[in-house]
Amino acid sequence: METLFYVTAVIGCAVIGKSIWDLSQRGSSGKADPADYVLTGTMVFLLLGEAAHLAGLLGGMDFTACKRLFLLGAAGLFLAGCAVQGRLLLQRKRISRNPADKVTGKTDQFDRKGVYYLLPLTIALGVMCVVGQGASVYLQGDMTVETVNTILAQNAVTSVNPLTGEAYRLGMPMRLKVLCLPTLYAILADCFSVGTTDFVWRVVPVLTVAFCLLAFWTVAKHFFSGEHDKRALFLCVVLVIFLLGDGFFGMDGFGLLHGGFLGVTIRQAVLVPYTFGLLLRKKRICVLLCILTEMCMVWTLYGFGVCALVTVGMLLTDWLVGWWRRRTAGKEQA
Amino acid sequence: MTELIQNAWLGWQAYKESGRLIALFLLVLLVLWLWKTGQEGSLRFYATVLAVLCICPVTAALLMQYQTRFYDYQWIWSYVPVTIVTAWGAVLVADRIRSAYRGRERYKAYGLFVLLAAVFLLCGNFGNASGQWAEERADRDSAVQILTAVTESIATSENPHSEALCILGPRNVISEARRLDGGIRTVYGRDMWDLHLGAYSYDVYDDGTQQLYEWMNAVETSAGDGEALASALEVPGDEIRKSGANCLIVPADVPKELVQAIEEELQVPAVFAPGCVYYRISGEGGDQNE
Repeated sequence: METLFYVTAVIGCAVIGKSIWDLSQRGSSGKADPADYVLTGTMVFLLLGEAAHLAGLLGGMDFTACKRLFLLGAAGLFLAGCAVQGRLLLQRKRISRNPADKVTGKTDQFDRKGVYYLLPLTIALGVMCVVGQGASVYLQGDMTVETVNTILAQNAVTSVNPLTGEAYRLGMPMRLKVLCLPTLYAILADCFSVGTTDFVWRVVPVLTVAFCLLAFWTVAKHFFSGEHDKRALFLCVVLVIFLLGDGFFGMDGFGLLHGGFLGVTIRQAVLVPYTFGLLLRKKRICVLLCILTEMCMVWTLYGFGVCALVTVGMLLTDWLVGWWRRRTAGKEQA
Repeated sequence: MTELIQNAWLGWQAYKESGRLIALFLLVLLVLWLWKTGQEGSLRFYATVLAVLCICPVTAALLMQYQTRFYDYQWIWSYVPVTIVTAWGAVLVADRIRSAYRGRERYKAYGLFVLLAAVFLLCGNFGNASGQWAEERADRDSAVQILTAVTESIATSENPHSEALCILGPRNVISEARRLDGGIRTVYGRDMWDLHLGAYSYDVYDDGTQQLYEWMNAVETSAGDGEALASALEVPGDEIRKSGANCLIVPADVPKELVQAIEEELQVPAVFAPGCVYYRISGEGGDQNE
């Protein structure tokens, strides 16, 4: 069932993500990467999970109804994605029947250069195997499994204190109540019949490692266009940095290796690097998805978190650097 | 605000001690500025400005305010692309070395690569690889065994519980109970000793529950500590009954006199299960030794 989950997650995310990119680029997916499709699809699913969670929290729906809502939404998005892809495929076939219209030119070839990626993929698989055992999970300050178990036991999104099972007397902060990860984990663990601790401590962290690699891949692709050896080295160095950061709570590597299910880890390892990747490639609209996704997973200042500040900072820096270069160029011309 | 600035400064001191990855990042940033590859000037500028803001206590304090007080100092470094810039710089350095030494001098390049790799490894901190995690895992496994043994024992007894279990027990059992089964209740949770979890709720524990927690701590250490045993022998029967607990679990290695003292105070027999001794407090009577 875990394998089925991985396969379903990746395919579902890729189909939905690709459809969104294709529609936003008016049928041309030339500038997007499969990593963009998977990551965009993942963020859409997370936002769908948030919608289901809010339906339970604010709409008074029980967990079963929230799960049904999520599954209907996911199925609807997937079918819509398939329909979009089918239509685009037909359009491309009609266009490609005319040999004169065939596009020729340099493409990003993976055939022989693919061997460069063996090393980072091997390291990544090793990390996934270690993380997938769930043997070293950092639990201080975390109650994700307890919350998921409570949601499943009570059939309600927020009901009792997850740590004791007793009813709240004074309640919990709304800023925490609106975060959707435990509800999403409960839905997925229930759908795929995976034990709660297995799903939260083993299955999710493996996906986090994979998505982390995809996020850094988008950055590598931007930095080293056409240079597969440098891209592969970049990914290797990123993975080594994660391993080197194992010893200190708060470092990227520590979260990835010992808390891949936490919202802060998913933000740190996936959303923030992907935000940088999008901003470096000037795909600024998509950054909104990152900001919204972070809002749903991590305690932020009324929705403004790391991705928002990074976006503002990078846009400001872009403008400043551009202004400085234009000023310098103007002086040189004078 | 002064306290926040002080926390920011102390946070930076602690963060530096975590290894030298931040020093490596700053070194790589310096190299990138010196080389000025012409590419990604905005990323270099952004990384530099944010690194300075994170190190300077006043601006770090403001960033900590922005990220909310829920998070500690080290999380403000999320704004800085440490991994991206370090990896980017490392690749550029490697590429320059490769370009500089070709043909017969290639061995110099290999030597420099090995040196670079050594610098990287020395800047990191692999942590306490297996010891700490193995201990925690063993603790969790032991708690799961105890809980499984107790629930099975109760289920197969003459008077199985019709209501959900509400447990008062050692720390590891309390920690695992709700992870094992969302239907099990506990008198108090991990937020009693893990202060980070206190932020998840406005509720606080009353004095009676605090007393039970302190008593359980004494029970856990009573086997090797005379003072703890003396404290544990003063069983807070009234508080236990008031707490709503219907199952009291104590470690198997507690002294016999403590087992008897609890029996006398609660007027229920001790039941011995693998790894623990438990008492059913709902007053329906328990089984004798099994």
